[in-house]
Amino acid sequence: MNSFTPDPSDTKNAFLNRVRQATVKGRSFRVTTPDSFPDQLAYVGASPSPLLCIKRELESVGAKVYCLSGKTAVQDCLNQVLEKRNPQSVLSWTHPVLEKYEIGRLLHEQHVTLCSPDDQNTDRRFKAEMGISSVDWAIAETGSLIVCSKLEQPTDVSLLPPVHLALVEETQIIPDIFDLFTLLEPQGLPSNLGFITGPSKTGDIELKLTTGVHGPKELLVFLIESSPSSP
Amino acid sequence: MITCLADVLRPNVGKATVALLEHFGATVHFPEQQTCCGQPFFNSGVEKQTQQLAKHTIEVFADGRPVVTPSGSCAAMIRAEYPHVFSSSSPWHTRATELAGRTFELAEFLVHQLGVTKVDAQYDGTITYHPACHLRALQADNAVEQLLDQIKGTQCIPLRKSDQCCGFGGSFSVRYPEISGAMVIDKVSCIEETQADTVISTDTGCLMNIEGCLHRNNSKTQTMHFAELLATGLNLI
Amino acid sequence: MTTDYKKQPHHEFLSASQEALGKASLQIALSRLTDTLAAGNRSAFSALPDSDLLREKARSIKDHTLASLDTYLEQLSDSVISKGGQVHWAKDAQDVRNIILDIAQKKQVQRIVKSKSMTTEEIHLNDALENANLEVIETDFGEYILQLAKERPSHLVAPAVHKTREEIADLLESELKIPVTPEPEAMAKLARNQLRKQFQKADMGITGVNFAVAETGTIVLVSNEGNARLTATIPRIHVAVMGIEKVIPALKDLPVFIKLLARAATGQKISVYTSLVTGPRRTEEHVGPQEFHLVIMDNGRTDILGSPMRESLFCIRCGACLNACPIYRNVGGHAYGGTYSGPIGAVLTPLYDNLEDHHHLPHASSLCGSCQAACPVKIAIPELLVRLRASLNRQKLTPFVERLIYQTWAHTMVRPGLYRLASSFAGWLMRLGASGNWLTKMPGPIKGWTQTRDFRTPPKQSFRNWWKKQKNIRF
Repeated sequence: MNSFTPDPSDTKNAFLNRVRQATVKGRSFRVTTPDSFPDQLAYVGASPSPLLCIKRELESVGAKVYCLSGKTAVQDCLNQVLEKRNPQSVLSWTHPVLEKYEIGRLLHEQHVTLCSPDDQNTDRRFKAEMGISSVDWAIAETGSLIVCSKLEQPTDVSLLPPVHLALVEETQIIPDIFDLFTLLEPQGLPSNLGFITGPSKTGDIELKLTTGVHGPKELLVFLIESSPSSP
Repeated sequence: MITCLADVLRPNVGKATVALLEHFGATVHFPEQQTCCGQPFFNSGVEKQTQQLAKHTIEVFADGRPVVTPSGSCAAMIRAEYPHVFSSSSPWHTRATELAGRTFELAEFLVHQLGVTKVDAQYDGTITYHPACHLRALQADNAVEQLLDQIKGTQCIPLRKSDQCCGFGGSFSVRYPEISGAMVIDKVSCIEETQADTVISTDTGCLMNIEGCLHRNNSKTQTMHFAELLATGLNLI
Repeated sequence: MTTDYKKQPHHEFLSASQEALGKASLQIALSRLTDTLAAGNRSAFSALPDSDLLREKARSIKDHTLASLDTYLEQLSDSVISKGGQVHWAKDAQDVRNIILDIAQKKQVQRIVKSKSMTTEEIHLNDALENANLEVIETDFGEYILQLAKERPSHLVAPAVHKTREEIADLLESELKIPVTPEPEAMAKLARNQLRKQFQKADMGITGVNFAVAETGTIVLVSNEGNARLTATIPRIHVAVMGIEKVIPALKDLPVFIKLLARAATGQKISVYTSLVTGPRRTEEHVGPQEFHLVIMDNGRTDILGSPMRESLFCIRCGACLNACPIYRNVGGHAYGGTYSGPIGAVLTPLYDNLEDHHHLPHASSLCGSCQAACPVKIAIPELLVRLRASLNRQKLTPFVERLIYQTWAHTMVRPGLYRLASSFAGWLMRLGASGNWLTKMPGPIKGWTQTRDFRTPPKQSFRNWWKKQKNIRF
C-alpha cells in the first residue's frame, strides 16, 4: 500500500495551475447562452394555498398526512399513532413545536422510551422504531421537509428509524424551493441540511417502486393549521 | 434543391414539390448542377470532403433566391452546419452563412415564408405522421402538422413514440444494421398499431427505411412524402 | 459476466451490442426503463413553467463556471477548510486511490460503506480498497446487487436495470445464504437489514458529489433511498470524491439544478433525499462525521476543458440522455464498455480512456438529437459525436478503405456529369438484382440492411431527367 503523500501545497498549486491553463484555453470553446434571465424563472409557488398544496404534494410522494387543528387534536392523533404502531423506543428532537404539544410527556405516559439528542448510545439509537421531529421549513411546491442538523436536531432522527413522524405547523410552510434559498444564510449553513420528500424509495428491481431500503419506510406528517388562538 | 436521395430514389417527391411551389405562386428554378448538400460527409467527420461539397452547393445556389428542399435533414445541414464548415476568417464562411439564411424545408417555407394558412385539399384515408429527427434542428414549429390538419377527408392517427428515430441515420444504417434494424422494426410496429393506410414523413431517407421494413412485413401501409400527399390532395399530381 | 473492461483487451462494441439485441430479458428491461423514465422526463419538463429557459440558465451557469474554474475550485477549497473539512487534490485515478488509502491507514479504517458514485466507478476505487484488505460495501440497492454479482452498472440511475427480479433473488440467496422470495418488497427488506448492520460497523463513508458550492464549501448529495444521507452521517469519517466539473459558484445557483436534476432523471419533482453537507459535525453535535474530506479529481478533465469537447463537462449525470436514446434502448449500458454509457458515455469514454479502443462509440448513433432534447443542460451531444468522428479521421483511425470510399464518393458528387452517370449505373445495377421493384438481398458491406428490410429500386427516370424533359417540352 502506497502511503506516500507529497507536500500538499505543491500538489494543490500544480493542480490549480493545470486547471488554470485549461480554463483559459477552454474560453475559446464557450457556448452561446442568453445574457440575462427573468427573476422569477421557473417559480412554481403553492397553489391553491400552501396548506392544501403541501398536503397534495406530500400525499403524492407517499407520505401519510394528518390535518390537525389545535393542541388536543394533535395530542389525540399522536396517541393513536403510538397505539397503532406501538414503538418501544423513539428518537426525538428537542424543539419548541414538540414542547408545545408536550410530546415528551405523551411518550412517557405511553411507556415509550425517549432517546433524546443527549443520548449517545449507538445501539439504542439504531434500535429505535420511530423518529419524531419538527422541521425548519416545509416546501409546499414539492412536499419537501427541510431539516437542519444541530445538537438538538440530530440527523439520525429523520433517517434511522423505519417510521418518521414530522410535526409541521402552518407557519413553517414556504411556497417554493427558490424561497428557501432566499431564506438561507450562505455562511450559516448547518453541517447537514436535508430535503426529505416522502419515504425512502427505490426502483432498482425492474423499476418497481419499493419503500424503506435505507431511510424510513413510512413518513407521517402532522400538518397543524394555525388557528386564531394558537399562532 | 431536390436532394440526392429524392432525385435518384423518389423523384415523385421533386415533382410534387415543384407543383406545390408553383401552385402557391412561386416560380421554381432547378439549377441542374446540384448534387448533394454534403451531410453524409459531415456526419462521418470527413471535413475536407464536406467542404468540397459545401462549396459546390454554395456555388450552384449562388443566385440569391430562397432555396427550398423537401428534406428536413438537408435544410438543417445548410442552415445549422454550413456556417461551421468553414473557418470564420474564410470568405466561404460568409457565403455559407448567406446561403443558410435563405434555405428552407418545404413545409416551413409554405407556412412561414409564403404565408400559406389554408389549403383546399382533399385526400380520403387514414394517415399517421412520423416526424423526421432533423426537424428538431430546424425548429420548424409544427409547420407540417399545420398543413396536414388542413387536408379534408384525412384522419390523422397519432403515432406512438412518434419522436423516436426510425433508425436510418445515413451511414449509421450501414455501419450498425442490427441496431438500425431493431429501431426500424420498433418504428414499424408503432405504425402498424395505428392501422393507417399511409405513413407520412418529410425525409426520403426515413421513408426509404420505413417502407423497406413495411414491405418486408407484407404490410398494407404505404409510405408517402408530405409533399406527395399535399400535391395529391390538391390534384396537382 | 465480469466486465472489467480496463483489464481486458479492447472491448468489442459490435459483439456486445449484438449479444444485447438478442437477449429478451434485457430488451424487456430496457423497454420498461425508457418508456417510464423518458416519458417522466418529458412530462416533468412540460409541467414546469419556463423549463426550457431554466435549462438555458443551468447551461449558462456551467459555461460561466468552467470559464473561471480555477478560481471557483480555490474558493471551494477555502470554504470547505473554513468549515472544518479537509481538501485533497488528485491529478488522476491513482492519486485518488492513494489519498483514500492514506486516510484509511492513518485513521485505522477497516470497514467502508459507499453510496453510489460514478466517479468512484470511473477510478475503480473498490478494487484498490479491497486489495488493501479493506472491507467495502456498496449501499445503493442496485449497486449492492451488482457488487454481489461482480458486475458493472449498466445505467446511471438504475444500475441493475438489466437484471430480472428472479435473477436478483437467486443472487441474494446464493451470496447471503438467506432465502428470499423474488418480490421487490421482500428483497428490499432483506437488503435493509443487511446494510443497516454494515452502516453501524463502518468507519468510513465514501460518497460522490452531485454539486459542490464554492461560496459555502457545501457538497450536495442526491438519492432516493437515503443511503447517501446515511453514508454521510453515520460513519466517523466522510470522504466525498468529485470531478472538477461538479463545482457551481454560489448557493443561489443550487435551486436551478435541484429543480432540473430529478425531473430530467426520473420525472420526479425532486428526489426523496437531497442533502447539503457543509463540513463535519459541529463541535457541539453528537451525530454526524467527525471528519470530512473532499477529494477533488482531474483524471483527464482538464484535457477536455481546454478542448472543443469542453461542453461535455456540463453533464450533471442525470441519465436523461440514456433514457431518450434509441441506441441505448436497444443495446443497454454494458455494450458501451465504459463507466458512462448512453450518449454521454459515447462522448466521455473515448475522451477519458482513448479514442482508438472505443472507435465504434462515436459512430454508433443516428444523430437523432433525442439526447440533446432531453438534457437538462442542453449539451449538444450529436455535435460532440461528429467532432469525435472527425478526430477519428484526422488521426487516421478510420480504415483506409472507408477513407477511400468517401474521397471517391465526394469526387463524384462535385462533378454533376459524373454524379448522373454513377447514379444511373447504380440504379440499373439494382434493378438488375431485384425481383419486381424490390431488392431483398444486398451484397457485401450493405447486406446488413436487408436482414430486416427490403430496398425499393430506383425508378428508371430520376427527377433531373424528368425536369430536363418537361422543361424542353415547356419552352
